[in-house]
Amino acid sequence: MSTSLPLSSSSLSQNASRQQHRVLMVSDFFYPNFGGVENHIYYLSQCLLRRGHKVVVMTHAYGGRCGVRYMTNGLKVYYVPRLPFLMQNTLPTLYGTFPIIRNILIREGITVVHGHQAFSTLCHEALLHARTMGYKVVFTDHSLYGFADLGSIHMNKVLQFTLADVHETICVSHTSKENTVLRSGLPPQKVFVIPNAVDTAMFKPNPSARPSDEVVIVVISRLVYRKGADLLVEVIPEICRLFSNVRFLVGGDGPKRVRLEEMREKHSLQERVEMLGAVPHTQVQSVLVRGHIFLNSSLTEAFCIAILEAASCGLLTVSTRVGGVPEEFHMQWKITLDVKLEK
Amino acid sequence: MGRAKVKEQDGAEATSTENEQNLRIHRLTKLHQQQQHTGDGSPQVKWQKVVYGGMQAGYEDNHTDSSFLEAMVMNANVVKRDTWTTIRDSVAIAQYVCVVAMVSAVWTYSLNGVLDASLLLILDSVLLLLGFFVLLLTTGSISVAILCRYALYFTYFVSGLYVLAPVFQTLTRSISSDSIWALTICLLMVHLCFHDYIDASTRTPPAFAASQGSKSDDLPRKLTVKKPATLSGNVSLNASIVASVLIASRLPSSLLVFALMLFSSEFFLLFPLVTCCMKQYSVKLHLGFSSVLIAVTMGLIFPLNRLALVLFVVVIIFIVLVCPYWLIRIQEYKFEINGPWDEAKLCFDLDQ
Repeated sequence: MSTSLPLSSSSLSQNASRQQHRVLMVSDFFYPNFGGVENHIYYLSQCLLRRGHKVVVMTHAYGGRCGVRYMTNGLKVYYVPRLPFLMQNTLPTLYGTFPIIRNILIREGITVVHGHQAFSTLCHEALLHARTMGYKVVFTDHSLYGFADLGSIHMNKVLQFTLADVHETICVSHTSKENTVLRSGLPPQKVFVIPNAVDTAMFKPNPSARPSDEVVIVVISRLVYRKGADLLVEVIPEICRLFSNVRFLVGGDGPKRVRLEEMREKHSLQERVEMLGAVPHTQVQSVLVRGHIFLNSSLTEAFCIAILEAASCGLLTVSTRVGGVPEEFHMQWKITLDVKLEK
Repeated sequence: MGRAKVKEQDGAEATSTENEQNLRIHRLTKLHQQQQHTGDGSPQVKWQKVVYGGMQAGYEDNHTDSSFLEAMVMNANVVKRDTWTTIRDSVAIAQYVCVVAMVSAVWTYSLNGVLDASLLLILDSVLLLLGFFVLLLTTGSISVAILCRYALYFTYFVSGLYVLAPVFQTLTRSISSDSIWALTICLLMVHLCFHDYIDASTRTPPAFAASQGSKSDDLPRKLTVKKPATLSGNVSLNASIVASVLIASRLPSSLLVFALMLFSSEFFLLFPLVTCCMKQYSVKLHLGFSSVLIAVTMGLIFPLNRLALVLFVVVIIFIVLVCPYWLIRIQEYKFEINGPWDEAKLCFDLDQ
């Protein structure tokens, strides 16, 4: 997993010139929430800890989980007593979080503040306060956003303020870099492209787990509009009709699950489409190895980790050609469907 | 934000720490080895827009290639506007404002007692016949069955109004006049703001163009192929009906109430259809009719209140002349961005 700081790749033994950093990761999105950003922060923190740096994570309280917790390898997590108000985001008060951020920065002796995800209000506030106090600041953008609707316009404006005074910015793919540069007006040489990675030790292939007489297509995603659940509703009956030896494994939950169940009933595909419900992250590998093909139908992706995980488990990935997906694999290892884009 | 100023850079150096120098030396040796391997003489391996394979030799993580933002499309869906067409289109909006002003003038005359019931009823019938003739003229022939059907609908409507007229008359007896005037003016503003001006443009919308196949059943097709009902269109229609009920309820006799309600309904419900057909038939007829309408309205407002007349003229000039000029002038600042980062749109309708 690549890190966000330019370091020499020498061993962990004494190296007098190598500086040990104390990094504060700030985001609204962290465990117990599951998702791409959360995993990214966790794995990045673990890699930095292994290199000898100190990492502290700051996020908002999740229900009763408030205060300081310690995770693997001494990763310290501050669940700051601020409740989320909209889509897991803390209420933006601009100066309300200053006391606690200052407290954490001074107490932990932080040298670098690393904020994640443009959508997180806590991240923006922490970056602003950290720069006020003169700390080094890095920002990572994980998603693609539009320019035309009211929410995006507002968020881009906030992003311009925050990124006006950030030291470095990281994006997870080249398409994401173009998008971030356009939204924030940053000079492109200030944006580094460091893609996400997957822990291949966790996602090992297992050819014996998949059946040999039929083709199993696995879909694991949140069943929401953005992830193309409606495309699945159209595509699954067609494929089942065209190929009689194909089965589907659908994992994940969301508002569109009802539509998928309806489709299943309407076309009598109960035998051929298995709905697994929400799959915990630890069991994703066991579900993936049961299939031959992984289908990703999302409508927008800055960097799709799901298809990396599937490829790591030895599946053939089929994905919609959106966002950063075309950059992720060499041509021969993927098939992309050009979704009819009405621009 | 204005225009995005994207500067091209190749390998700009940031702070040079010892670690970075180490890394650079390491990379240069690797590149040298690669060159010896390939031996093709070119200085560097071509940069690829991929994120697999780790760091690309000879390129930093923040390398900005010359193909940066190559796939960006600017102002793809923006319509290039022509002054004269925009002014012609804005005449339809001015015409509608004119109609609302005319209806308000007639309301004022009725409330002042100038127009009595019989005069209003004659006016209603004349307008109805005129509208019908215009429809016949613009759409050609019409079958008897369709005619009977619409006559039936109209009879239901009129009889319903007649029966309800006494109810309307006593509806606002307990409300003071000031509240009524204030509420009516607000409702008329809402009506104007939220009105669906979708067929204001002289370009035929696709729904209607498709329906202009056969000639015989033209009228019912035009009447049935409606523009999609929007929330704002419905809100505006309701606002106008409520406003006419409020005003009508101030009148002394129930026959007057019925006549005025019929007048208001004819204008708010049926008039848009007539203007739509007229517009499709001939643009010149539409423009001529609009000018006549503006003149008639000015003549109606003049005896009432000089200030209202001045205000009306100012509003019309603003809509017809100032707004198109302003729109075209700020159009050059339009900056619509599309690119590979856009969310894909589904090409089918979600049927819930």
